[in-house]
Amino acid sequence: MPIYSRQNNALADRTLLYAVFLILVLLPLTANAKIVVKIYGKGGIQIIPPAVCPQQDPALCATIEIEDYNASEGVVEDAFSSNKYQALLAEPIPDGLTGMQGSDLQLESLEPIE
Amino acid sequence: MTLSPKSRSGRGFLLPLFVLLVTLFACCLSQIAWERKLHQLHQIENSHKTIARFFKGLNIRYKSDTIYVFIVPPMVAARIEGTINPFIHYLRKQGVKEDVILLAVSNKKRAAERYLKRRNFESDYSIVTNEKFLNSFELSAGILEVPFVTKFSVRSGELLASYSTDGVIDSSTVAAFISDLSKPKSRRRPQAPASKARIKGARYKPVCQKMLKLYDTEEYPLSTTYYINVSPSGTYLSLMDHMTYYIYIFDLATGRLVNVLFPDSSEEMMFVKVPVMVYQILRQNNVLNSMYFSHDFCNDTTLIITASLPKVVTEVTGEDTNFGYHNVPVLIRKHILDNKPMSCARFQSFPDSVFGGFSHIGASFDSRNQKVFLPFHKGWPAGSQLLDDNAAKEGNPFTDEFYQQNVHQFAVFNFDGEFVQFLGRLEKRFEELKLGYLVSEGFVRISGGVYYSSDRYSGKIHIYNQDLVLTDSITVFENPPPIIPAIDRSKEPLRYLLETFRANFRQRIVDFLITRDLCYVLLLEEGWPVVCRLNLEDKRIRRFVLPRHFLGKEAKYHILRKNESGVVAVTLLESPDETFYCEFIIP
Repeated sequence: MPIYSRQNNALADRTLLYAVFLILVLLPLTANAKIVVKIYGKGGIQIIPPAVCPQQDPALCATIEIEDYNASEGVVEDAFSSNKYQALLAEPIPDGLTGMQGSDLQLESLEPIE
Repeated sequence: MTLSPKSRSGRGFLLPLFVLLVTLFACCLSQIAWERKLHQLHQIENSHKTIARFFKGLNIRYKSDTIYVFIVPPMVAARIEGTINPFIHYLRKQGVKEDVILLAVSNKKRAAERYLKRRNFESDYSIVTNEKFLNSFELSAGILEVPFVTKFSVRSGELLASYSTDGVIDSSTVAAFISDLSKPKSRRRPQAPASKARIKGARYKPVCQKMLKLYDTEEYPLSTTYYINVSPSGTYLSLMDHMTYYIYIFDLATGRLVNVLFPDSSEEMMFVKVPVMVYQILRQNNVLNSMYFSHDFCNDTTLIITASLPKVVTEVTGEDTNFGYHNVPVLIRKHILDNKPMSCARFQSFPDSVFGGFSHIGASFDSRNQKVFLPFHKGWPAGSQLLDDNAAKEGNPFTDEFYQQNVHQFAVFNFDGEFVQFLGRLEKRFEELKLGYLVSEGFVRISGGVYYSSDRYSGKIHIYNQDLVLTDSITVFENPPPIIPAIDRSKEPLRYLLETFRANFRQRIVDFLITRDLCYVLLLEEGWPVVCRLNLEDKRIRRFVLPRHFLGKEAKYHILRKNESGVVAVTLLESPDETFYCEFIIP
């Protein structure tokens, strides 16, 4: 059985074109929230120790597109809502910490976020 | 315009045809991109049955014959592991119903199991397997250095597709991977085993001065390490655990784990300037990784540590807004019993005129004069791609321009992170062989106010005075005439580098120690541990071949140390579940 008759072809074609148009126009608008992370580091081949990417280097190691994330899940939220953490965030972060020593740094030792 | 009924009915297939063409186009583009990837994994021919048996042995009720398998070297490319959960997300979103399995490939079972618990991958099954699994594959890097996503047929054991997860991970990459059936086969057999030639030197009958079990914990099981130290008084052992990038402190009287030093959240957040939500996402996906590396005792209770902390910033390029994740190399000082940092200094970058960088992973320290020596490096192989024909000549080790300037051996910094000067030059042999900075892991030792440096491979130890002026050299071994393998480096640049390196550098200096008139050198020759005792007066050398196994455990030699009974080789005796500290007395 044919999917549509010959008489309906023109209508079907138009419908198809509209559908393609809608997909092309609306797809970006309806796309899920996503972020793109670019990971920089030397990468490449490391003989000993085999540790890839921990150096400071402008070479691009990886690009990750992350979408459909659920930002409100997980225990990380709790760590962020803590006063200590918010205070840390509020502090302007200096461009470099060269030469900062001991009490100058005034780091609050927070528990690791697991 | 009129269309014949035939042509009209043909347009009914317009959409599927369009989708098919787009998919094929994406696949072709991806295939081209994949073939240029630095890290590749191929299945060795005739290994299908072994792999089929392996998957059968996992006792999984597979949903279908095709499975998706992440093959992961735990924490070797820690930040790249951040691609795994997003990849799984896209697989599911694009309708993949098959099983997704993650294999953490490690001989350290307990540590790898803990790692899986910590990383919380979204695979259906996360399993630890030992490194024998890799015998069925050929890796372009020679070893497993980055996670691969692969696709297998369970019944036949055939590898259907493989893709290293460095590079771009997005919906189109995943779509192309789903349709990929390229079945990458090994183009050649893996490297032949090392020569069976007898290693020259007296067989050393082990005299163990001290041996004790290192009692790790369920929370912090030991994996492997590259950097260990003993406190000046011999009270504590510190080592960087390669599966956590934490530093474990052991009491050398009892073997008890007394503390674990790790980058706390204040350190992790030091250079992060993005919305809280973005930070959360990065953490949930294992993208953010703070890492401790080499370290040294400033005194019996204070450690100086090199570390990479994450710097995450918003990057706006045209209309695109991305988040850039860079490493910030820092120098952190901590008391061994307190995780709170005492100080933190950021290593400065080189002046703009210097093409190249430094590796703070394997640093050498001079605590008395507050100097840090970091191996210099530049050029390819860096990044995630094969050598680009259009790459700058100064970054291409196959050009003469590469060796004309900026060919340093070390960059010297002070403890405030300020760049002081360069030291030494890339050894000529690397230039002759056009190996560039394939390896850059030299180290420096200080004795009697004099600096001694080795690039580990050339057999030379250079001597510098207090002002870092070269005064003399010691030759520990001579390298044989260069061997150039018959590999077209324009076609197979990476294989050329790796094969040439293997053929020409059979010995690697692990450590050395200078006493008044003797130089002790611990080296690995064809995998055999050897200690050379060189008389600095008459230049006579005696060699002692050390055991590779002791009491049924693999002996991994790390440092030479002088104590009250003489010079000892500090060794870790390892089995999958246990680690022993051992000191062998060197005659």
